[in-house]
Amino acid sequence: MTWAGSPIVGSRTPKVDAAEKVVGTGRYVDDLSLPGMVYARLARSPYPHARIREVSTESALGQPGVRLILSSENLPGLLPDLGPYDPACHDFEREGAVSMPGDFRLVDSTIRHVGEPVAVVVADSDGAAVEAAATLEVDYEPLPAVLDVDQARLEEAPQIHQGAEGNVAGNLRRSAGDVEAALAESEVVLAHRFSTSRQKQAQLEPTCCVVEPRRDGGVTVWTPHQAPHRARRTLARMFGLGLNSVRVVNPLIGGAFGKGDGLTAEPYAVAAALVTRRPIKLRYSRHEDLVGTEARHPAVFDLTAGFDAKGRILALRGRVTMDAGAYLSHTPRVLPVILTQLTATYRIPNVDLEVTALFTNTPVSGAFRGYGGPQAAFALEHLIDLGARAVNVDPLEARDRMRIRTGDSWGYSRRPIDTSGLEECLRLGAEAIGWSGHRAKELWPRACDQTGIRRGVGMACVVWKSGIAGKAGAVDQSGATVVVNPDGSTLVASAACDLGTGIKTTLAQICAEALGLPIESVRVTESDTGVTPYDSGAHASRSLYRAGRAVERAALEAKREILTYAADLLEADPGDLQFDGDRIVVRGAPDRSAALFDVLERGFREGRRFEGVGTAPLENAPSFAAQFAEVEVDLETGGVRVTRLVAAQDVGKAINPTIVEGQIQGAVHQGLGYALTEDLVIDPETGTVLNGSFMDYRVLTSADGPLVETIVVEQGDPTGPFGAKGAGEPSIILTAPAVANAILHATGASVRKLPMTPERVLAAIRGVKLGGEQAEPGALAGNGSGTV
Amino acid sequence: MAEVRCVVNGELLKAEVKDDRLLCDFLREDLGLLGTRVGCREGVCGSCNVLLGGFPVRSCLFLAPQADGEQITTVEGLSEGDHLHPLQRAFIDAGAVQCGFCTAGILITAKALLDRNPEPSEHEVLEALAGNLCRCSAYGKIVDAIRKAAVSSK
Repeated sequence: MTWAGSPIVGSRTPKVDAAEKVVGTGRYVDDLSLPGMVYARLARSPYPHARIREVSTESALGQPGVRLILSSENLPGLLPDLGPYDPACHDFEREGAVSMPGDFRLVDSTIRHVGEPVAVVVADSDGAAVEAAATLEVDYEPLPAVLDVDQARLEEAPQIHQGAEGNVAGNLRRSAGDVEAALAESEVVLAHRFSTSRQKQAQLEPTCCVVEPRRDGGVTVWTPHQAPHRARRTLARMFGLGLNSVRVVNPLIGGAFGKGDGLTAEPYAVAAALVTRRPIKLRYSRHEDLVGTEARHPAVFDLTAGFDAKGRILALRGRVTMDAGAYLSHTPRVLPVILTQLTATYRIPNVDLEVTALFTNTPVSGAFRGYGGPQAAFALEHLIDLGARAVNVDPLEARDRMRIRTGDSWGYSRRPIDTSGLEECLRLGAEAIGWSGHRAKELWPRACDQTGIRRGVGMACVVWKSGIAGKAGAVDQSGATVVVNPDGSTLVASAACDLGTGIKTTLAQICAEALGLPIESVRVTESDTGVTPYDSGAHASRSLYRAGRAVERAALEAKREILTYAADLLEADPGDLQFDGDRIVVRGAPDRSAALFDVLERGFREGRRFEGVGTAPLENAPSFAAQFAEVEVDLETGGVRVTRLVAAQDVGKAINPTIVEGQIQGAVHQGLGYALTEDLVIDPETGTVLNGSFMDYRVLTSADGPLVETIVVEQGDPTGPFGAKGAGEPSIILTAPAVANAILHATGASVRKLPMTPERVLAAIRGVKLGGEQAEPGALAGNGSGTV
Repeated sequence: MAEVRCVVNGELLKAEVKDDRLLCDFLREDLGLLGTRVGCREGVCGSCNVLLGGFPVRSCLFLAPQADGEQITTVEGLSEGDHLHPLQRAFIDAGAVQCGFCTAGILITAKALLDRNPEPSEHEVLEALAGNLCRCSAYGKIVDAIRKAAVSSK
């Protein structure tokens, strides 16, 4: 054991679960089997909008091994208490816990997107369940469908949900100042449309869950869900069970990125388990995972911005339309993030913004790492470069002039910004990429009528958050308990979920550091609602900032208990005691000390308990990031090769620098996929997903991008554990706009639709060549006159 | 049904399998070697890679009967008891493991690479890994780990 002579917080401690993952003994949910377990699979609709006339179960039930088929015809009779639910697991947080238009119903008689489950098939083997689900006879009455947001807002469009007039799933406005007047005074006014894609989390572990019915009528659910306590509340509510009758447990989680921040297979498996009284395993195929779980909201931004001569935005008008897909789910929570992020990073005095989400008969949009941030940043950050270009200002300088600063108020908290690493991120990132050298070359694009390769650099930056405390209607809670055992080993009970993010390791580090005990002595429990205090889950860059604070406080309380007891033994003041290796010593009197194990053992015999309970105070901390991309664009093919990516991020304190670097690198690489290739494509005629396989949905590989260069900035936040703040998301937000801005710098062409495929890049380049909408005499030699 | 005789992780075994039994299901469900992960069942992600006769193959694209007469190594066969393979040690030390779902397949690919090319360049490692998706995108740390393992195995 290494005693805490050197700090544990800030060290590159190996991850606590790395060993079981490299030898293959770690267990993910599909590795679990229970005695008597049977298999469920889902039959899914081929229609985007339909009413089910009849589900003919006879032939499927006649197949060998098939036990049961649950559909809208028999489920209400079998589970009469079953209610609608919010797959995002926010329903219990709503005022009055009411249901809302667009909430989900298990195997409803109306189908609202291709791939929506119409029946649960239960069989003795997975193969039999797959076969029966694939061949189940369902008689559909197809209904007119709405397959994109333009159709959704037409007056004659069919209404997808009762109570959602005009197919509106949500709407928010924000205004300040006088936009009209500010636009009139602006040096340049630009108006552009930006469109973002339907990105899938594509976590490598396909969706799967295992449910065991219990004798008390409840269930135990093993699932890679990102918020077991939220899952428990929503499952309990929809099935009419008490919270003690639902236990949700995380096995190892094979990636999530938002896919698990809500219910997917769990309710179907619970229903099957409650009806059959048998343990159930329910798997999704990779295709089902891609089309049948939620994706990042596609959004269209119509933005008008007025810039002053220094490249600052004086006024921003925006009309944003998000595609919610077929059900409500996370949309009410993503929507305000898009709105907030349009004004979070910069001081924009005059704004008039409206964000509207519309229902369509397409797969549901939901949570994905960044949760509205990437969409807003792509539009805003690219617009800033277009504006800076029009007034002939370095876009980095333009940002630096209008970025928010310490003392400013900030979108997610009334507390003004205490510390900001944004300036440092901008400076260090610019140095690393060689910004001034690159931009000073005025660059490669002299005239855009040549062929060949052009190079350019671009950047983007953002202010982000640590959790959702302060967001309207949101509940953001983390609790933890710390128990120091008589042998000095310590158990931390926390439901913070480790999606591969290393949170179990960093929590152990925080506990060890706060207690002054070796990291090897600390174990963090599984995220199991049966043994952990409430935690809102792994999302919104919150786990370390929130659960870390709860663990720190619990550990400090446990330590106080130990020192108070030791003070009695040593006849000293508790305030004069400190841990010194495996002894507790009186400060300034080295001869007066006691062995820690003796203190713990004696205390145990006397009935003392060395435990602490901690919760995270309702705070939020801003985090900051800047990203720089260097690209080569092939003018003949439109192909973009990203040659360097530099990501600078202010994480407050890197509790474990290796883990932080991994988070940043992974986020950027996923962001690069968002920039260049990733989009779940919906057939405009049939509503079918055209690329629902890993063969066709193009996730980037190791060979597709540069290795990401990371710069970790540590401007500690006073409210974070050891100063730490959220780290998981900021860098995924910035890659697409940094790449778009680099393409603009390289070619003078503005690509305003994601992903930036060669076709789109080529079309934008040709627009420049033909003197079309992007006519400018050539990159930075622009004359400063803008287009309206 | 088909009879399969093969050596898995150094152990000779004989089994009766259905003709269409996938190798990944044979390994995971029949032999209980759960360390091999199945990410897509369509031969793209590489999570289920195992060594067959020393070469990395997609065990979701192989039928178990095709393994007859072959030597197979899964992730469980890399370590010897508590003694980790240098690649496994390096993956832990370099922080190359995030969610871990791709890890077994990547270790297998990396072992095949180092067996043929004991000192790969960064570029060669990245090329070799192009058939293994890591959605956590820990590629930087993975490359570090593989190159460190190459040095430490010398």
